[in-house]
Amino acid sequence: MKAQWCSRLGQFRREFRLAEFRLLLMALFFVATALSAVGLFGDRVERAMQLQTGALIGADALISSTRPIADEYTTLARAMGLDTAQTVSFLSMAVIDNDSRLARVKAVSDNYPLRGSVISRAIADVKETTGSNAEPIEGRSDAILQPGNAWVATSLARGLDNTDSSLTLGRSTFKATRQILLEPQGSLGSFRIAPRIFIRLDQLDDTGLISPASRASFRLLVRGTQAELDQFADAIEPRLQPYERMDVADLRRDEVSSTVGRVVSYLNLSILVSVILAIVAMALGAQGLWRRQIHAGALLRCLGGSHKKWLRSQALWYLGVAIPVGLAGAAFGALLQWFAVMLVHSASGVSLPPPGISPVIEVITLSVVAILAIMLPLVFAQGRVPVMTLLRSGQGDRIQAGSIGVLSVVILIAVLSVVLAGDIKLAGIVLLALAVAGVLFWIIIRVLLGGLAAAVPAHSSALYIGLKNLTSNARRSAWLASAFGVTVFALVLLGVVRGDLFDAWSKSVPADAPNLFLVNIQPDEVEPIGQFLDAQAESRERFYAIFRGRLIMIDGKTVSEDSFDNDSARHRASHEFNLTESDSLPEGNQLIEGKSFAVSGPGFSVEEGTAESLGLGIGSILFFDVGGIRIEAPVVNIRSVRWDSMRPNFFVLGSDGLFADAPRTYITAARVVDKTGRFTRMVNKDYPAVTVIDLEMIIKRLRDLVDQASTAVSVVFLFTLAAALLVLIGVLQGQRQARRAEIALLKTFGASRSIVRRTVVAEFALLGAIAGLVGGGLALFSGYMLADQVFGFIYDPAWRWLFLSAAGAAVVVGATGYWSIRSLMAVRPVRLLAG
Amino acid sequence: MQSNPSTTRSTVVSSHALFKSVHLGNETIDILEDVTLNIADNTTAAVSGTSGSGKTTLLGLLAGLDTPSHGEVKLLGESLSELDEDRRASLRRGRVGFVFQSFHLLPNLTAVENVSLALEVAGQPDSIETRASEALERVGLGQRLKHLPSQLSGGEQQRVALARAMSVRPRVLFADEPTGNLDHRTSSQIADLIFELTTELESTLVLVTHDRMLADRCDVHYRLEDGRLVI
Repeated sequence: MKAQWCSRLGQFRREFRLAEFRLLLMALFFVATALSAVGLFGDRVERAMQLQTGALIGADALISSTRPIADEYTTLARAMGLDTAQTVSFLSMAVIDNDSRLARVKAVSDNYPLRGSVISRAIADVKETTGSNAEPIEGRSDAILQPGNAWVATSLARGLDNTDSSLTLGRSTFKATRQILLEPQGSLGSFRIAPRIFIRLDQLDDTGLISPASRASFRLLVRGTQAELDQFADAIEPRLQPYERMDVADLRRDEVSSTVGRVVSYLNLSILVSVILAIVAMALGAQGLWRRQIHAGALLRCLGGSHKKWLRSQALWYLGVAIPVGLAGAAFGALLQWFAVMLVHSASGVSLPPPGISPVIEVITLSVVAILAIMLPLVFAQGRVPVMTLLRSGQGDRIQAGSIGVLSVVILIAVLSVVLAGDIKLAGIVLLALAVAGVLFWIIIRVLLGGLAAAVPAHSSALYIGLKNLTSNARRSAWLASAFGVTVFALVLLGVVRGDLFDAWSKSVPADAPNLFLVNIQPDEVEPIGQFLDAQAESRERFYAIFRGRLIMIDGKTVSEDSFDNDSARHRASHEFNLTESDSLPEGNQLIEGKSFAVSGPGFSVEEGTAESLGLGIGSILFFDVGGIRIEAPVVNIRSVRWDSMRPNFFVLGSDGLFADAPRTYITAARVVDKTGRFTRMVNKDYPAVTVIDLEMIIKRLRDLVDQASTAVSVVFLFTLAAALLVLIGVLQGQRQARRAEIALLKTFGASRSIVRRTVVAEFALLGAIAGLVGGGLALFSGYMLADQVFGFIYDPAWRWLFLSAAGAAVVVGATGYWSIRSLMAVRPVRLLAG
Repeated sequence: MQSNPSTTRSTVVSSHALFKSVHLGNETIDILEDVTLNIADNTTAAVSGTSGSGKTTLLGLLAGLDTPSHGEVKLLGESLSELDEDRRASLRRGRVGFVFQSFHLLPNLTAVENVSLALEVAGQPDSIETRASEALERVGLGQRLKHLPSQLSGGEQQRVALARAMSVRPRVLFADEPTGNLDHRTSSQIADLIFELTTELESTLVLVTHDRMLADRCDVHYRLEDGRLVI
């Protein structure tokens, strides 16, 4: 046994000296690392959700409403033996250290949550140990959230002074005692624009922030046995109003898990390109090994060995190689995902539970499958090499592994794609999209190479000789450049064009556009706030009355979420509309069908996208429930809306007086230059219930979120770049023999080592430059098209990025290409003599 | 052996007391021993001998492709032992041509591109493709300019190699068994072409061959036996 181990170790040492074997291992390690990093991260996200499944909604079931929960529901639940809790959530301004911040306030009753827990830690710990390993303290709110205290999200906690951690909500001041790490419905919630604040429900009224027309979400949470819940559901469902809905944990769990599934699937698909490229690199390494050991099978049979035995021993050998390499890759991937989790934690405060062992087992299994799928067909083909090749040298070179080798790689890629996408159809679509993108890049680069070859006359320079090397292998060069081009495309699009688009969009907003929205203005506050704005703001919009109404019927037919197929319509049918009334269309709106209110008389004006998704036309009769008042009127016109005008806009607006008796609040917008913080504090001081939304801050927050997501995907594409470099190394290893002869030949012609070096660097730098040029160019073009066709603003691409992407790719590919064949620089020309 | 180089012409290739040994483990094998020769400008010289006699090693040393264990080689007036590899390469650039037994054409380049490559490395100023085409026409391949080596016969490949070597108008052409991979008739045509071109361009030819008849066509004929020049 010991002797067998020693023999295997010896074999490993011998094989490791072969560059092809090292490439095979390196690519396998890469595949395992990529799969492990993404798999473990996904597993942790899923586990975070699973930890909360019972607690996903903080209860076994809940009733949500846009109006206060009727007491009869609570009474009924308690009568049936269910435990109950209540929450009210709404957006409001929080004043912290004289600075106003938009926050999502959640007022919770004593026993919230009924299921799961709120994970928090003391503010003092945050100040002292953010980013450290301090263990969070887990507990239910009634144990810790004391009257007068508030719990806050990480981003707010960082702004609080440890010695005076107070915050003001409306008329009340709270002491911020704890940082919220995880809450029911909160795993992904930390990425919301407004950070969370928890206060006690019994202190909500004191703040004066909630009035009958306020936009808030009211919830009744219940907990009990399945039988009690079924009984409760049967009793409640007939009583539910259009603005109320009941969710049970399972239903919500499905929604959340599908969201998590999408996140994980997105990450998996992002890494797919890297995995495919690494598999190609493995296949290249395997082909190199095949060429080196072409005669091994024939020699074995010549000496009387059995092909089956040879096949079995090779399978065992590669199995023995794949397991430790897979393990090492999984470990390295685990390290990378640990860094990723640390980054997520420091950026958002989200903590994820430790991963399970299943992704590691999956990675090792896939590593074994990958290496066997790639190597065994080649080993099998070795068995078919005629023994006569031993006698006739050179004949073996003409023997190919055949289509079986290519087929096994294609099947392997398909299987891995399905595993990563988690769906055959999705995997098919992604592979097709990748193939189309690859072919598109290939065609463009091929044309470019052809053009260069024709345009540049022959002359004596390293650059020209390098170019000729590229163009004389145009097909292969184009594939290599395509792999890099796709990577550069993704990196430039995510890293540069995205930011440029944000900037261009910001610049496209008119200089006099409002930058603050004031919402939740009570009717009696309209006049004084108007006077205040006239005095303090540079400009302001008119006041629009806001009515919150649910669409009940269209043309006499009752509508609900289930009445529609498209997501947009389903969303509209299940949520309340923000309606307004006006005698004319707001600025930035344009009539595209029907007549104005002045001509048509009373009715509704509907935004074109909404009309399309709900299937509305001129004359469609809409029936809204607005605070218990039923309002019925025809659609009299359809209009387009410029959503980026930064002014109040509405999907549906009624003619003047249509909502005469309905409860209302008001909204307006204003432009305040440089003093938004002071302005907000002044508004909050006199009108605590009014919420001031700083659009620039919202845009900044959105930008930060998009930046975070883009950074994550960019990191994945750096993986792709590394995989593309592996393919380059693989291709070059396949060419070593030919390159050695070529360099020797150049030297006999009189080329010095430095000329040869310059030629080689020029060839690969050109390859990279072309890839960077095409990838960067297509990224800028995509940005231009997106801005022009989708977002409707002018984007003037920063052409310097074209140069920088070309230069960057030239350096990376040039250096890698030279590095991988640098040992050939020392080849002596004398080797060309005598055959 | 004829070992009397012309004394009226200047010497372009010479060796003095040349030794070349290789070590295989503890064993030292002497490949060349005490080889002294002088090859004058614009002459043709053959080095012949049996397999393993050291003739290709000698060619490599004379052309500066390899370095001797002892002794001195002078090429175009420069002592090679005083030059490093890059300076030896620089000495060959544009002044020395090679024809190999295995042709050594780059498989992915067309005939004209293979010839152009030598001109590009040699730093020829202008009209590289024109000169490459002319060189190929001169060796009878005017109609095969755009053909890849794999589309050419062995004889045609050697013609391309000859065109490549002669396109830079070298002072010295080293030919290592140039007909070794060809049939008798093609060998004869290639040999004719080599002699015609060296005469036409007034180049010096150093030819390694085991073909006695071919060797006898040269002005000077050196024979090697077990690494030594024999009379």
